[in-house]
Amino acid sequence: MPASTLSIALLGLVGCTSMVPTETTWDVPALAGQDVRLTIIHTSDIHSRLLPYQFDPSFTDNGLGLADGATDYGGLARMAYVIKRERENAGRSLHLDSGDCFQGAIIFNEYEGEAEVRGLTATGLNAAVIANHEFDSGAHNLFSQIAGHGGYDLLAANYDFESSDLPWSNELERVSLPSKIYEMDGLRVGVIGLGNLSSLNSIHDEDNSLGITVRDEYEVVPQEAALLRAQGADIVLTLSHMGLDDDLEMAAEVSDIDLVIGGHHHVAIDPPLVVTNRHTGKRIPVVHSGAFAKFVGRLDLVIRDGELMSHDYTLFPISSETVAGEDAEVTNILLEYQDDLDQRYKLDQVIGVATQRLTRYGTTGGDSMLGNCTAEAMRAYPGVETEIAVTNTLGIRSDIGATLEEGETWDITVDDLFNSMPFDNTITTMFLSGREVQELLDYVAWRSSERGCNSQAQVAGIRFTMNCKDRIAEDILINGVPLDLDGTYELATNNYIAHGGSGFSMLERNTTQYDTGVSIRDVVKAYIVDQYDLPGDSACVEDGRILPVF
Amino acid sequence: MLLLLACTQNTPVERVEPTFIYVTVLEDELGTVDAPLPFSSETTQLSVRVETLDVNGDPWPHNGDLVVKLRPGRLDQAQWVTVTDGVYEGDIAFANGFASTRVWFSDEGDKDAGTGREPSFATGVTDPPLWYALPTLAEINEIDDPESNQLENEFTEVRAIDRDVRVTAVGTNGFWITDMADEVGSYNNLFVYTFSRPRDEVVLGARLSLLPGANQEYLAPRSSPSRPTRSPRTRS
Repeated sequence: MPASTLSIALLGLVGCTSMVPTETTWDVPALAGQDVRLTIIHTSDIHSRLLPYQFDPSFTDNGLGLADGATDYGGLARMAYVIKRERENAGRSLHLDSGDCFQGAIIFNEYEGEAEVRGLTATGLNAAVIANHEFDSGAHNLFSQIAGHGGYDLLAANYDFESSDLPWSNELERVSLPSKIYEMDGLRVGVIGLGNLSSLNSIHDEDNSLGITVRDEYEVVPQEAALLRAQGADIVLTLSHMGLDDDLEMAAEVSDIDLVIGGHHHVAIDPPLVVTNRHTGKRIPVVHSGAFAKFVGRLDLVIRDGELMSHDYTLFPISSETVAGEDAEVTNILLEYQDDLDQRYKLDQVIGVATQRLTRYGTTGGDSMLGNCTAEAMRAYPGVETEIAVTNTLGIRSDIGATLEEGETWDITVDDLFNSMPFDNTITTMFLSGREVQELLDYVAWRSSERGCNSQAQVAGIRFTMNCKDRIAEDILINGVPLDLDGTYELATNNYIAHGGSGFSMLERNTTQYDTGVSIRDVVKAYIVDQYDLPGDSACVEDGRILPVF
Repeated sequence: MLLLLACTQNTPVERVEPTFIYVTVLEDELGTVDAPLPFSSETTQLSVRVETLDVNGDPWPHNGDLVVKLRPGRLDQAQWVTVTDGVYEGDIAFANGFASTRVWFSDEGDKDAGTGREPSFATGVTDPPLWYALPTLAEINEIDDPESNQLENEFTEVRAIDRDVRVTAVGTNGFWITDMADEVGSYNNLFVYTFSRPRDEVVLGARLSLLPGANQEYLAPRSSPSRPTRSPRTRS
């Protein structure tokens, strides 16, 4: 079918386009039977790392092009520079984000997502999925930020915001869509948003309800896909925050999608995984581009008559060494917040000195330096003073002094502390029976065994063997005494896992909970100030209190 | 009036031709999913005809370069071809295609920046695809230069269905496999990195029928005399 109407030859027209003969038209091209290229720029799990930061890239990061030795890493202005450069170097293009742009640095704690939404809008983002951390300052806050500052679509097909009793539910329904078709020069791309469900059970808002009815993604995706196809979508993709395992299963099981753009597990995959759908035999690329503003992904597709013919992928590492510039528009937005933060928080204020890198993960996969610091500081804090403490390892997000070399010292700043402990969690105390302590630590062993036998909790007053083979906790000592299953123990933990976050349901059901309101970050800050030289004689050392066995 | 419209900011798409690229393969032996061509590291020549088309799908007399690449797989060297009066006919040299492989031709603007010609990003791929057999473990490993693994950073499947690929060890973040159909010492084994503990069905002696993953070279420390191993992995 030929394209329709209005085609003007502009031979020699100077000043409007280029110096060489060309042709300018306003026609929608006739795509039937032709190869059509689409470029998708992908970001995910930025977690408020809008400003560059220091860290030590892992072996996997190195393999993906993020080399050691850069002055700093990440930063939204650098991402925007790459995103705009790549979109200028593409024909039809979309920028999609797989969620969790909120939470992870002080800029979120202070401005509750305003900087993230303004910054992403300035990158030219087309759409983002609503993920779990978008609710971290409440559902109403998400609405306010998007309604006030958002310039992109917010998608989620598996959240149903239809509770008339809860005002924010109606608000979110107003600013979000289950799916949308993006039309680019005749190509119609259907995008279905998929939030994750596993973390929602632990995110609370006032009365412990977000007013969200969760819909089964295996029902909603075929429905939305059929709707999009009926509206003329050439291809349909899911923009997902469900995590890699669920994305792979979705690609294998649901017939009517062509592509999965995912996030949540903070993994970057280059090249993308390709899943063969078990019903159609179609090969479905599954793309994840990592977290913390470390990477920007570019996926190029060739599509013919609705069939994804071939794909190509490039992952761009974001660091001072790999990105030559910063986007001026995003830089100017961020400067407003950065100046304010510097004045109010004195982020450069030194609160202690580290003589070695303070790690969030243990060298054996068991207890860690920062984990032991945190748990000990929690249970010893005046007014808390419990027998034991347990906190989730993922509540500690980065090492302190990540680039510290042997023989050097590192000034620990307020900024370091916020980057390492971004969550505004508080200490919750409760009484557990000995059997509940056993259940709690068994769960830690089970969850850790699913993650390479790296302990998913950090403890104080407890010593145990984490058997990842049998997925149980053994040889449990409480302050040096074997666990008494019939005994009673007072626990300090964080309010996130106390509400059942990360699957700690045995804590959620406890009726003796008391939220002290004491900020864990403030407790750790006080501990660092008190000890000052770390690790020194402090508790910030690995002592084998969690012994992994596999 | 129309010329003025062409200069305003509110116009829709300002099109640079060609809009489409159509590729015809001038050979018969392309392989099929049931009868694939043998996997090979040797250079292969593929004869093609490439035509540039305008917005209506009619021939467009393009003169300029097109960038060429192979997905998945690698070209023999970085390549482009020059289209004259809308047509290129000639050979493309490549190696290491595997599974369903297509050659891309795309208009990324002229290599010679002096012309100032804007790219249209029109892209065409070979169709039907070339079908190559999947590489065996030994074929993944057996290369002359361990630092230039031809499958580095490629997502592929290991040829397993007609072989005897067994789990020979299990670790906390992956497992080892060996292709028993090959002789001992034929580089017929590698490590599969799974990030976390392999699923329960991955046990010693289990036979694999399907193993997809991204291939990454692991180079042992320089002081070690051992040969580098290669690790298709399912996650990064």
